Amino acid sequence: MNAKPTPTTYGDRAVYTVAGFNQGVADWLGRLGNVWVEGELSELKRTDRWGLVYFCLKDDGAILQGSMQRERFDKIQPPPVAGDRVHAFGRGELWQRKGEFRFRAYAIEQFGLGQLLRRIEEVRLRLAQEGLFAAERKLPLPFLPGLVGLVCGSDAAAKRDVVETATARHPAVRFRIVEAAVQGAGAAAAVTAALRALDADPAVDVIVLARGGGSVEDLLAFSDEGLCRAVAECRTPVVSAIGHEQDMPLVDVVADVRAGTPSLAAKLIVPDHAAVGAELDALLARAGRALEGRATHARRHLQLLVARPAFADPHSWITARRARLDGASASLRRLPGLRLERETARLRNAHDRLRLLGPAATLERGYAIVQDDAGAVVRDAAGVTVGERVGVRLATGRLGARVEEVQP
Amino acid sequence: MSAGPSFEQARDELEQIVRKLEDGNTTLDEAIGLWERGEQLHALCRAQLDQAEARVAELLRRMDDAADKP
Repeated sequence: MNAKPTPTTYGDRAVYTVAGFNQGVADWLGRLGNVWVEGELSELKRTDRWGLVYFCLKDDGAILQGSMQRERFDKIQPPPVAGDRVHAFGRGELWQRKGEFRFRAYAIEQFGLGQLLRRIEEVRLRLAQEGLFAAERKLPLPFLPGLVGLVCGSDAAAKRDVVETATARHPAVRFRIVEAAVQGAGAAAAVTAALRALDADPAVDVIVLARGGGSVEDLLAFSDEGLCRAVAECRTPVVSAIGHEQDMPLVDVVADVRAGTPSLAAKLIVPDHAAVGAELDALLARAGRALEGRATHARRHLQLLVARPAFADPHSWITARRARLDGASASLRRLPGLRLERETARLRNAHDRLRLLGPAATLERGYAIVQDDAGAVVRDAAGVTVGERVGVRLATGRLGARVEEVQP
Repeated sequence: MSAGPSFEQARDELEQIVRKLEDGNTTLDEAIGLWERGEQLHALCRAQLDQAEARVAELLRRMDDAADKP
C-alpha cells in the first residue's frame, strides 16, 4: 500500500490531488472486509486477451460493476452465464486511475438452482415423513369421467394438448377448465385455489394439473408445500402433468397419478373410444365362441353316453354278468386241482426227507434189520438165545422168525 | 380206514416225525420205530390224495357232460 497521501495547504484549506484522493478512498476501501453479495449476473465480458472478467450484479433497481481474475473465473463449475442468480464473495475497490468503483470478486456461486433444489428436497422429506406419498393414499382414476377438471395457464399449449388429445380419444369428454397463473409469485396460491374449486364441484370426477415445460424455477410453484398438501387432501383423483417427461416437481409425487406430459394425462383420464369399442366386440365374439363351444361339448357328451354299451346293447349287462360268472366257475374248477397239487408236493417233500433219514435205501440193497420181541435192534448174536422169536425187517414188509442156531 | 386219522392229522404227524428224525436226538431203536410209522402215514395220505383226485376228476367230467348237453 502506498504512503498516506498528504494534502497541500492553502491558508486554512487542505487540498488533495485527485490521485491522492482516489488513493485515500482506495486505501480506506481496502481496509473493509470481504462480504457476500447476491444479485443477477449480467453484461458478462470475458476474452482471452484480458486478465480480468467484467460483469454486473443487478438487483431490483441497483447495479454493481464487478470484476474477477479470468483464471479464477474459468474454474467455476458450472460456468456462470448472464441471467444466473449468484452469490459473489469479495469487496469494493476503487480503480484509482479512472475513479471507478468496482466489486472485486474472489468467488462466485450460482445461488438459485442449488438453493431451490435444497428447499424442494426439504419439503419432499417432510411430506414423505408425513406419509403423503404413500401408495395407499392414491385414488384410482374413474374408467370414464363424467366431467374432467383442468387447471392450466390461460391460453396455454398444455391446455390444448389435454383437451385435443382427450377429445380425439373420446369425443364425448367434457371439461371444466379453471385458468390460473402457473408461473411466478402467486402461482402456487392460484393453482391451489383452482384445485380446491374443482374438488368442491361434485360433478368433477378427475382433476388434471397441466403445465408445459420450463426451468426448475418456472416449475417452482408445483413443488410448493401448500399446493402439495392441497393435492393430498383432494377427494377427487388428481393427475399431474407438469413439464416434460424428465421434470419431477413434488406435485408429481403426491398426485394420485403422474403423467409425464399433458397429452399423456389425456390418455390416462379417458379411454380410447375406438379401442374400447374393439375390445367390447372382441369380448362379445369370445362369449359367442364360448357358448358355441359349450353346446358342441354338451352334444358330444350326449352322443358318447348314447353310444355306451348299456344303451347300444340292452343285453350287455347280462352278457357282462355271464362273463363274470364263467370266470368264477373256471376258477372254481381249477381250485381243487391246485389244492391237490399243493398237498401232493407237500407230502412228497415229507416222504423224500423221511427216506433220506430212514434205512429204506440200505434195506433195498438186501440188508435186513433184526429186532427182538421188545423191538430192540439185535446187533450181537450173543444177544439172543436159540428158540427165541425175532422180527426181521426187509425193504418191503417184515418176517416173524425163530432163532435155530447161535454162532457168537 | 374211516376210523383212522384225517388226511391233515396224518400229514402233520408225518411232518413231525421227519423233523424229529432230522434233529438226530433219537436212539436207533426209536428211529426205526418212527421211520416205520412215517412210512405208514405216508401210505395213508397217498391213498387219501389219490381218492380225492379221482373224485375231482369224476365231478369235472360230469360237469363237462352237463355243459355239452344244452
